[in-house]
Amino acid sequence: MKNAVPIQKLGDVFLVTVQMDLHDQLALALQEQIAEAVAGTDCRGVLLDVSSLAIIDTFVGRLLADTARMVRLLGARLVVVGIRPEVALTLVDLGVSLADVTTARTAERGLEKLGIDLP
Amino acid sequence: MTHRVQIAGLLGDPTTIDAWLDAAMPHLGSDVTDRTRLHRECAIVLESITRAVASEGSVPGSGPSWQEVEQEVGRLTLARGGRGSASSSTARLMRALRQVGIGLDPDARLEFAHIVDELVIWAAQAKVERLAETIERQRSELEELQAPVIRVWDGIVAMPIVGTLDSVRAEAIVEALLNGITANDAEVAIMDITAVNTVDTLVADRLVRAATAARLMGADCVISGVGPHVAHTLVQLGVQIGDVRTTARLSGALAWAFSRVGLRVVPKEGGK
Repeated sequence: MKNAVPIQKLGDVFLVTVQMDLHDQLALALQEQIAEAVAGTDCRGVLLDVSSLAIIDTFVGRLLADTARMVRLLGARLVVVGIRPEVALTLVDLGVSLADVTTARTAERGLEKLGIDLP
Repeated sequence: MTHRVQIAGLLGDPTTIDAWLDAAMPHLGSDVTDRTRLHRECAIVLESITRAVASEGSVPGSGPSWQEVEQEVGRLTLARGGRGSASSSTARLMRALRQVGIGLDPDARLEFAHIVDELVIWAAQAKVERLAETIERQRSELEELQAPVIRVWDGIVAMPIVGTLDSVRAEAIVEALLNGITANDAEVAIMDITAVNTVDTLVADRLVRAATAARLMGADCVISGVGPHVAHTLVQLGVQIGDVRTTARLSGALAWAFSRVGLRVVPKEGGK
């Protein structure tokens, strides 16, 4: 389960692209991976691209919120990128509003929200 | 075969049509102002039945001649409906034809009654089908009206919501808005409820749901057109609008949207 999801470092930012459905174990492993990566450097933020996910359930939704709080405690910010319309509606219906989590439509906008200007 | 001959004879009798109308008139009341016109219309129906009996027999089936009878009856129903007669009135008119067959032999009379039954059904059916068509047309017209997503500016979409929001419509509107955000690569979405008739807890809940979903997708959502009346209602109902931004007028929402995408509206230099 180690390094199940690739994490790439781009300057001050980690880019995490989730390419397969997140089952519970995988999501927990991913949370750990992100925390370790952020703690090991002084990065500004993490972009978590979930645009290929067709389903985000309550467990993974809550985990996203927890991960965002952990990353903030480590001095950086998490931006969840590319939640699909149907996934967003399902999350709202499940009562997962991710109120503390920064969201962005694309990775580019996510960088803007982290205060990083593209050259 | 003898039934068929008897019925054909009855239909071919030139006095039949007047006997029919005489039997029908007491049931039609004030619906008939022009007996000559009704006479002409009923003659057409009677002729089509005569043709059908001659070519396909006296039991109504699915052959082309009986279909033609069905069409004629439908035409008569809709024509009379257009003049203000209820479809039941035309059904009664058809039923009156049964009286004309009273002189037939019992077996032939039964068969003739069967034909009349079909005529009554066709008269009612024509009206129902027309109504269904009308409802379907209006429904699709309504759907077109209901949820246009407008690209106001690069990165800004707006959706004016008109009329009453029931749960089916609200669902469609929310989906259209979220898909519009994706399709237009929008950062800000404006929902304008100036023309929404009533805002109750259900509607407010739907709007907040849409705004929350939009935020999850990374777009900011603002609800504009919240008038004093609506604001009053929402407070009275105790609706939790959450952290959704609202403005009284569309201009306020636009100004906010522009500032979100890094734009500003300023007066032109040197006035107009």
